[in-house]
Amino acid sequence: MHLGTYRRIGYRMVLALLLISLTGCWNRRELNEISTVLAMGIDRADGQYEVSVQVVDPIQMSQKSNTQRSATIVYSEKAPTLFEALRKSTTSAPRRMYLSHMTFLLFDETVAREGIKQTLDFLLRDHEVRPDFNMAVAREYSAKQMLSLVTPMEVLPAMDLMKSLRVSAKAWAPTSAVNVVSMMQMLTKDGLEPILTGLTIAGDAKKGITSKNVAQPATFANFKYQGIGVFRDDRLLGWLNESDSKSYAYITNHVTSTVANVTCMDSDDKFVVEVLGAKTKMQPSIRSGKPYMTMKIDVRANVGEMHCMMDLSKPKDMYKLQTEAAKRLNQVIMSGIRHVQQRYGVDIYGFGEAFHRKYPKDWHRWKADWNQRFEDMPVEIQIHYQLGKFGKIISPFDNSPETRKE
Amino acid sequence: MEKPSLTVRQATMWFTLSQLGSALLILPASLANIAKQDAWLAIFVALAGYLLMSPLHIALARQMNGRSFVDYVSFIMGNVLGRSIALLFVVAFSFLLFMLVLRDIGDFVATSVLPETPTEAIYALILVAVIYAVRSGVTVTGRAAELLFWAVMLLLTISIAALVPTIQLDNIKPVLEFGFKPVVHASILLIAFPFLESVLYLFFVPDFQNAKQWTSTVLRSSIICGTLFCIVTFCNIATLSSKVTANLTYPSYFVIRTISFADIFERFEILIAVLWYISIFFRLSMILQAVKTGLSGIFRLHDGRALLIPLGLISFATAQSIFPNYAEVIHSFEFWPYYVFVFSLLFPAVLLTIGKMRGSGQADSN
Repeated sequence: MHLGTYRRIGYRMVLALLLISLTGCWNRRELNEISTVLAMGIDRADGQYEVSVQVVDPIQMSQKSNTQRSATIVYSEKAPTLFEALRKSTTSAPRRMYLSHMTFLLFDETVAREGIKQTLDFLLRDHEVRPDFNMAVAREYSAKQMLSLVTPMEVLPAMDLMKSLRVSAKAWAPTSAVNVVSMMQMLTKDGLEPILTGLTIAGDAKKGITSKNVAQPATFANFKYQGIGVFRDDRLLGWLNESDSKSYAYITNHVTSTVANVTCMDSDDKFVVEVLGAKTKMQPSIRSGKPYMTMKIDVRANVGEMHCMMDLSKPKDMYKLQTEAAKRLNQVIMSGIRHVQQRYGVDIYGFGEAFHRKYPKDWHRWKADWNQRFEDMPVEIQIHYQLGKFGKIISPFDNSPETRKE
Repeated sequence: MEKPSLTVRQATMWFTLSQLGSALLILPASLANIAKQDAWLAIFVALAGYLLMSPLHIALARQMNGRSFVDYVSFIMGNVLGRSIALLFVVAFSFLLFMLVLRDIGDFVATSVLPETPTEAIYALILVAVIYAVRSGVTVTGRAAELLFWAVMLLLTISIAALVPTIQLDNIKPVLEFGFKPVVHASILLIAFPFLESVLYLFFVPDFQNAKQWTSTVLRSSIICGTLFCIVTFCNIATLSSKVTANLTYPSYFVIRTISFADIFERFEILIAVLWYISIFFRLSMILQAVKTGLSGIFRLHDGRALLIPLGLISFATAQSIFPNYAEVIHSFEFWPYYVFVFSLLFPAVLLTIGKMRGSGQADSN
């Protein structure tokens, strides 16, 4: 044989060796070896973390699913730290937890009050977890109970939770879909304190965790997002009610759409506005050496429901409604700010960041005791309200002033 | 046989890719750590600083007049001294850099993508490709760069475009909060890594038709690269805020992981890993090519390609032990710039001065 043949054989051997690398299976995780975690709940129990994970039952995801079985399984395990608890879960589950598709993280109130930073470290450090999951705090119930709830709409409860949070933040406003990246920012910025939406169970929680919960049209129990939780650093201080939560959404520019009722000016009846968009601009200023916040709020809205005795075909009446709606909004926002200033005294609105951006020098003097300054800070709002359309009918049904008088 | 030569286009793409390499993924964190939300400004300052220093390298390239770098050094400093210094340069700078870059890709893959795969497997795979590329010569690598450059640009464009909706301009305000000092401080790091690494391009002078082409290649690739850095760092900080960015190992990778566009366009962060693989490949090929040319010049080897496998094996063994842990890698950024300055500023300056004093650089060789 001559040299060329050896060469050719040599090349082929190298090529064959390269094939090994093409499979790329050193780090492989076969689908039948992993459990896809959809949601994680963290509770405090006996001084340890109790970590519950909701994983998909793969059989239920196939066409020939067995209706007797639940679509998800909840595993939970106690350990001093998160990572330990997750690995320990293999003692009761046949597969390893795969965290890349986690969409939802839930804390119970105890964990939230003690501080959430500790739990986040692992989730950000681990290579599997994607930093795109949403977070919330379970109120009254434990995170484990929340994750065990059988929910009606989606097969996977975690999807229900996540979608409802996103939809309600978009269409209803007093909830806030906080994902982990915005949480990281809220935790690291000086002039901005974190918030998380609360999640609770409405109805009979004991029956809600059985498959019977979804066997009839009205469920025994369902989840419910309720209020925004105010944090100082990473510790939960307390909850805002619905109106204050809405005020928060307006100030932080999170209102995509919402509805609000307004009392008519000459009766106790109400009309409802459908807000189509709101834009808030913070204009920090310094008055006599102290921070002073002015907010300009632009609101576009339509009349969504009408019970006042008014003739909407008259522009004058329409403007009256507009003024009334603006007044009402002013009231809601101002009382929200006042409550937060007085009851919690933490700057969840990011006013501090606004001053930081505009007056960096003064900010460095203020930042150490910012929350105190926030408490006493005067806030002024200027609302530009635009009430545009009123839908398919003009005035309320059979309710014109003439007919009422008789 | 015709002399193998690089076209300006090929070389620009190759050098751009090689400069993007390590810096794109790691640097935003170190920059944000020093310059906070002004990190993107630091890149402009660094680019300007580099363009001010580049005449040094350009003058040198002109003086080399088509000779190889080692030939030139030994011409200037005498045979024995010149070669010893060239050897020092090649081993203590070029080859060290090669090992560091190899370590970079290992660390990244092991941290972010395949934590359980031994890094040796990662080193081996990329080394095989790099050695093959360098064996095939500069023209082949240049042509490969011409092809893959557009792949990298496409991936980069996709990722940046996907980030645009999540950008919050508030995150980069206030501009110049702490004045120019931290910005300049951060730019020092950037000038050294990757801009001043262009001193390695001096090894490629004979592969160009003339010094003018070399100059335009080097300047162009630095400007393209600086612009891309600036955009990427800006997106990182505007999306994540400077404090979050500063605490991430690989911010550019992390930020892509956060993208979730309409619940469909998401989870494509591996694209960034691919992009990085490509640019690291060209970076390693560039450096190894320089090391090869340097060593074969110093030892007057007939065919430097025989060196490649031994060099590969040495780096394979040392890459893992060069740093005991990742904290040391981050710590090394503090003094690495000054180390680079010795080789990329001081050394060329000395060469140029002696060359000017002898005043014979151009006249003799013709």
